[in-house]
Amino acid sequence: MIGDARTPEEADRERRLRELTDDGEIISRADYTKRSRRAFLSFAGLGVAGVVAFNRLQNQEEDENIPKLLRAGLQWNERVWETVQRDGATARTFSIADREEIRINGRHGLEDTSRELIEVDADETADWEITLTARSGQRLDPIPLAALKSDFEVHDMVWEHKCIEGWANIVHWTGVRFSDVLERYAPEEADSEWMVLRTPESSDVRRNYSSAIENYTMRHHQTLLAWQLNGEPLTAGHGSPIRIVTPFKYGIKQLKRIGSIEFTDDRPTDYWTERGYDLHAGF
Amino acid sequence: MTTTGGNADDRVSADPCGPVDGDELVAKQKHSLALRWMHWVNFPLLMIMMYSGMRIYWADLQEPYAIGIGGWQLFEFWPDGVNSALQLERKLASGIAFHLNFGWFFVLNGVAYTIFLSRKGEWRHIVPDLQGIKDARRTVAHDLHLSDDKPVQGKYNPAQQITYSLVIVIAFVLVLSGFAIYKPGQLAFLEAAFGGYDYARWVHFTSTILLLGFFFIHIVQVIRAGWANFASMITGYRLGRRDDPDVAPPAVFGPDDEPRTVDDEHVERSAS
Repeated sequence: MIGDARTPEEADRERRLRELTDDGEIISRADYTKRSRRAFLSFAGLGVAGVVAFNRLQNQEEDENIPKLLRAGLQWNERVWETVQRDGATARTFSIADREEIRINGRHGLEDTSRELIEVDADETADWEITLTARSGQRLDPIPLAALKSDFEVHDMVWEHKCIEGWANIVHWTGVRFSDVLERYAPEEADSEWMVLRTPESSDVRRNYSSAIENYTMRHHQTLLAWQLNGEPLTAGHGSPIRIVTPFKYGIKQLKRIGSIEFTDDRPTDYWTERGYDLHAGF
Repeated sequence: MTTTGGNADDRVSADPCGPVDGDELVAKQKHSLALRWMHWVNFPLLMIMMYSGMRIYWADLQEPYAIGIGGWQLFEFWPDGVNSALQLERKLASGIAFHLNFGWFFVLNGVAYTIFLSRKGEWRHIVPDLQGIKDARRTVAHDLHLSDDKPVQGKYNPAQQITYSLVIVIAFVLVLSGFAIYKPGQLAFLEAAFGGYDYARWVHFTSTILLLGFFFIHIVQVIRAGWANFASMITGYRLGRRDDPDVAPPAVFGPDDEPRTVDDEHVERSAS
């Protein structure tokens, strides 16, 4: 209890502490009764309103597999991060000695209808082409894989590959800058707002896969068309013969086995966006 | 960790003769409307954030976090029963959508609270002084019924002050580590500050668990502190006699009073 055991120092300190607290308004008991009734009713009302609003949000009409409002929120997030996007941002890189094994996580676009991985043999690799579609809908000259490997400066880059599921591995990629290739094969499309990558479409493929990536990430100096992972040619499961890699997107965006690229200014969609994920899905 | 007072009601009920001077029942504002909003909003927000966060966490079960000591594990987060009971399985897209939308409201609430703490000098209630830090142990002993000795306090007791200060720090770390995980490209410095992606994730989970731990202790302490204390977080006011120390300062400490002149050097504090 407050009282006898207090020393003057303690009493003094208590007074100072009380003074801090003593700025509250004092009201009569009648006012208190009125105000507390109002407060409890508001509290209960707001609580009920909150629960109702949350239920309505959960059951709201969906836009690409998530409630409309949440989809709008993800797009708002995207605009925020585009606004603060620093052009000079460079993802952290590591030394080759740090590289780790990486599992095969997504087999979309790589499996046949009986769920077997489709291998790409040496002949197919030699003849591989990435088809290009301009914003006008017109077909451009395709990019031959052989030319990719011979005509451009080859880069080795080591960064942390991050999966949207939460795991991450440091991996070593070998390939050429997409921006260099773009300049040669489709310079007039270099300002298109979006680029949509697709696995080769065929009725033999179980699930055709696609990934839409915005201009600044595609043209970033750390975005590569890669044909080697950790010093070895890409295996079928990792996207042979050629895939896109960037440290600015989750793995779901880093499409394996590129068959075609389409340029567009209209907001596109892609495999995982249609299934409720964020179109941007970037860092 | 008890909230202030707790004994005002006992005296309120014994009031057969009507108000006498100093006996009059009045109510004093304890928590402003802004403070009450910012306090309560945390509850639904953190429920949504933790639930959607667990749905995200479920997606990567290759190296689950676990509770245990050394090699011995009590359980991993989360046991299968919990995962299915809470419908955490295969809800990654929904988890992300809720987490990355509602997270902003938690950030906004934190910004508002930070401004509130600094502009109104409210931080003085929360941040303990040196004596408060020393006294915290006594508060805990008192709360555990190991001692009758209760240190002096202002709006919150020393243990509360330390706990609330830590909770603010934890919430801050929680948000920062969240941003490090969310934007490790543009906020690469933040990712680096946490020692990399994996550590940022570990910090994010650990601070969540700490916050959850605080939540349960908080509930217990609120129950212990009683109805009047709980109601004051809703109404903002606390009812008491005009001379109740929880309402107005006791007369002995009034502005004109000298502190009692006791030869403090020779006073033995009543052994508790």
